[in-house]
Amino acid sequence: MPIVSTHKLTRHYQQGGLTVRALDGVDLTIEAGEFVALMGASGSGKTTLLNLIGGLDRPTSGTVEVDGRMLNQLSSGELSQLRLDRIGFVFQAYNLLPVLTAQENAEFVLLMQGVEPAERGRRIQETLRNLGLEGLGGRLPSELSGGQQQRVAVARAIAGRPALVLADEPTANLDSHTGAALVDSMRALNDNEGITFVFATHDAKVEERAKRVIWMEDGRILRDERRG
Amino acid sequence: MLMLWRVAWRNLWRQGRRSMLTVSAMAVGVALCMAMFALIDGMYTRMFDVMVSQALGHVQVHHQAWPADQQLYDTVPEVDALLAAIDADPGVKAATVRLSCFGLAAGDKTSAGARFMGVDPDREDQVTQLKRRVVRGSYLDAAKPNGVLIGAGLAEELEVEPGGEIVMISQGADGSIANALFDVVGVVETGSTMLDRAGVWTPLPALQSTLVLPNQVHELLILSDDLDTLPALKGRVEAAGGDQLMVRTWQEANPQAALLIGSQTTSKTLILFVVFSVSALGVLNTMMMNVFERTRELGVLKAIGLSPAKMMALVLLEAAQLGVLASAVGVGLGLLIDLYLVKVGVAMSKSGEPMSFGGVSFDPIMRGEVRVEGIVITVVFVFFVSIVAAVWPGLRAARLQPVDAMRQR
Repeated sequence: MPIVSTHKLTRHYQQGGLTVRALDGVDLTIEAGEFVALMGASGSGKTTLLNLIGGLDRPTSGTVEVDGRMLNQLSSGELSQLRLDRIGFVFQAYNLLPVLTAQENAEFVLLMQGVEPAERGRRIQETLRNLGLEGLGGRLPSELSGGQQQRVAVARAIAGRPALVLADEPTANLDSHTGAALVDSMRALNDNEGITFVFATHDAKVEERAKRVIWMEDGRILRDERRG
Repeated sequence: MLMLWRVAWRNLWRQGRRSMLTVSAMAVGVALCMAMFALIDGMYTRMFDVMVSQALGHVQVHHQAWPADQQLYDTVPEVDALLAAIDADPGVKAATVRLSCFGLAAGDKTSAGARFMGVDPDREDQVTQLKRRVVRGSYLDAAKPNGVLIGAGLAEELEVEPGGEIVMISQGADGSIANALFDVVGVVETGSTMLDRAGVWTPLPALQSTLVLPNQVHELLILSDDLDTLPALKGRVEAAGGDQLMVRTWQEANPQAALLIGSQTTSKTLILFVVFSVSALGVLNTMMMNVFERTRELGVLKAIGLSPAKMMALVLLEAAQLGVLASAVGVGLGLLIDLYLVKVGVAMSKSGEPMSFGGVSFDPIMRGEVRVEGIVITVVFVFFVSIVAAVWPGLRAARLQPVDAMRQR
């Protein structure tokens, strides 16, 4: 069953009197449990596609269906609820809440979901342990390395048991070793828990570990390759 | 909500100096309001005491013709039965009767116009607390039927002190010259300019005898426990008294006094409005800055699923916390100022002479009166203003588009 489905998805921007076709009629289907890398040069439309799939932006035309819901038919509040319950995000710049500790950042989504305290505590401890963050839960983001912060961001993205995690250049600010370790962690989550991951990336290490690689150029899908 | 509260609290201290400045400004506003309220309450309580409790009672009963003509003969009929009915009314705290007339009071050397009031000493004290207003000498005593109290101003004018005598000259109900010699037992300061300058309180039987009005009174003054139910009490007294009586609440008896005393609400509202308009601008500025500075962060929160309502709640919670802090600090500061105003007061006159306003004389030192309702109103208002001032920044946060917000640096 597809977790993501786009049909003739288009996103145009006005920039200095010119129309920029950031996305130009993309048809894409991603099945549940896939581990997908969106590859392409800057400006190829990877981030725009992730934003539209995540309901962070509205398309100029075309449709996006996530987990059986047509996003263009949802209100702002309904979109927020869908993101909270079904989608996790990992950003290039980590984007953790600086006033919350690592554990509180990861716990935030669970609290918003209304998960009971006991279950919340169990899931957070498990998630932090799986991501190698044991003992770091009480630290503020400013007290963590870049790799640790990005792991916390992943913990926040998966703690709420989403069906889909969208990651925009998650390894871009990390050294190669840390980046590879992070991708391995996410791949393990994909293998063990069946969470669907979609990355926008330039990173060859992400590409190597992806089960499916989609190359984009000028807002279109250039090539779509599934791997064993 | 607990997590939002925690996030809001920590956000507040990311710009600690700014938050503290806003809290300080609001706290000063709270303290200022409490101090002003204490002074206003002190002043108006004095006014109410002098103008209403002492002079008018909460409800007063006269012969129908008395208010317009004040003729000696316009007495309240069947006063004993009426007084018994009033005493039995559950809404009545105390009641007294008075017989009064104008006349001449003469001391050894001078004389002056005076208002003579024949009163039941015990009842009068229950209604007007006349006993505690005695500043020299003693209170009326049933064992001294010719002993009288006189106002401090009149005592000074007649050069009479307790132990001295005054002569009363007026007109009797039978057309004769009514005159009597009274022993001054005490001097009173009521706070009423008119009464202090011209008032003479005699035991009721003495004045009834002098005016040849045995068992007659001109007015009944009633105090109630509940000022909100005066119209009902008035209705019951009317029913008990019959057609010849005029029963009025204090507001009906003296609309000017009602207007004056009622103006304290306007004064307080004006003070609240002015002080908290400034506070509201402070909160608005702080919250707008917070939202502008954290646009990217708020975009992330929205991206990970915080609903528009919760985004709004986050901003309102920060403002509410500012309000709670300002209330706590402000009430503490305000109580210290109130304590000073109650215990020490503010000198309102350089000469040390009492001031007079609306027929009420005030001590040159004005003292405050602290009422819980004044503090509660101030705290509720500062909290309300904090929330209202944050609505606009909150709406801005709620309407952020995640993708636009996260592009901000």
